[in-house]
Amino acid sequence: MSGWGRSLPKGRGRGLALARAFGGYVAQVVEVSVAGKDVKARHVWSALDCGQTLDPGIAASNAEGGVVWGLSGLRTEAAFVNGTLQQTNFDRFEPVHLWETPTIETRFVESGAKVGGTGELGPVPTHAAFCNAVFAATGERIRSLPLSRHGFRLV
Amino acid sequence: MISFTVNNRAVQVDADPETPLLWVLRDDLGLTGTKYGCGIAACGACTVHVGGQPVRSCSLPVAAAQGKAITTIEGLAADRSHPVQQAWIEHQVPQCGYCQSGMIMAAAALLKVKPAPTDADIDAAITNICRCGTYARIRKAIHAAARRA
Repeated sequence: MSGWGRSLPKGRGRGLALARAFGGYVAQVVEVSVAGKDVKARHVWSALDCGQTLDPGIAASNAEGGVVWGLSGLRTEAAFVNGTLQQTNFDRFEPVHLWETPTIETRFVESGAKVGGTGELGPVPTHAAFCNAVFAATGERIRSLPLSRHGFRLV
Repeated sequence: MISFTVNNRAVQVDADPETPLLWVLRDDLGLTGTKYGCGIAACGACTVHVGGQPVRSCSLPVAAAQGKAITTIEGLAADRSHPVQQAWIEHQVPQCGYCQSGMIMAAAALLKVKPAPTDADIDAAITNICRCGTYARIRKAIHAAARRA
């Protein structure tokens, strides 16, 4: 569905990740564009197997919102000092906004397996797929988050 | 006393002039459709229209509303007939719903000045935060509302 393997213009990269979580499976491809150290998520494709998709509309909405939440986690670390969380409001924890949201395509595999969860499946592979995409675009490996540790910025 | 209109109804409130408009709307006037999110004008859950402009009511002192026309989510259209409400229902935008009254008010304000907004217009105007990540459907619904209007 993502056209995996297709050649991309310079500065673009794609990454893939697969996860099993909450009784379901999710594979995700993230495409990024990199300009200097600014990384933008352009497109995300998710394929989910939760056995049987009871409400495709709600399930897709959950999965797509999950991608946004996954991307949000790339940017800000939740840091505790003396047991106190430092990110107490949206000035210190900046979730992804509408203008930063990639186009997202979601499909469900009706495998007939035991029904699994979809509510929190979306964000599970997003960090890995995103960082693989940055590697594909730049040759630089990101093995810890947030992105700022490596000088990258989510835009 | 501070006087203004809310949803075309004249109101007078006896409040400290520094009280955020949000709390006057919710606590004094009972209009609880407008939500408290962050209290620092970062998230937009408290968006209302002041003189037709989208404003974050958590950070606007009620004194600034003197003589102004305020519209809250309750005043948009009681019968759900507003094009933004219709588009929101059609596209099933909300998940948890908490930010959505602010999103709808921000979208309605955008469509008043840009009846056929581009993606770039939507990017620039909708700066509200949605923790459920409903942004893709918000974008689709705004385009749909523009076609309905």
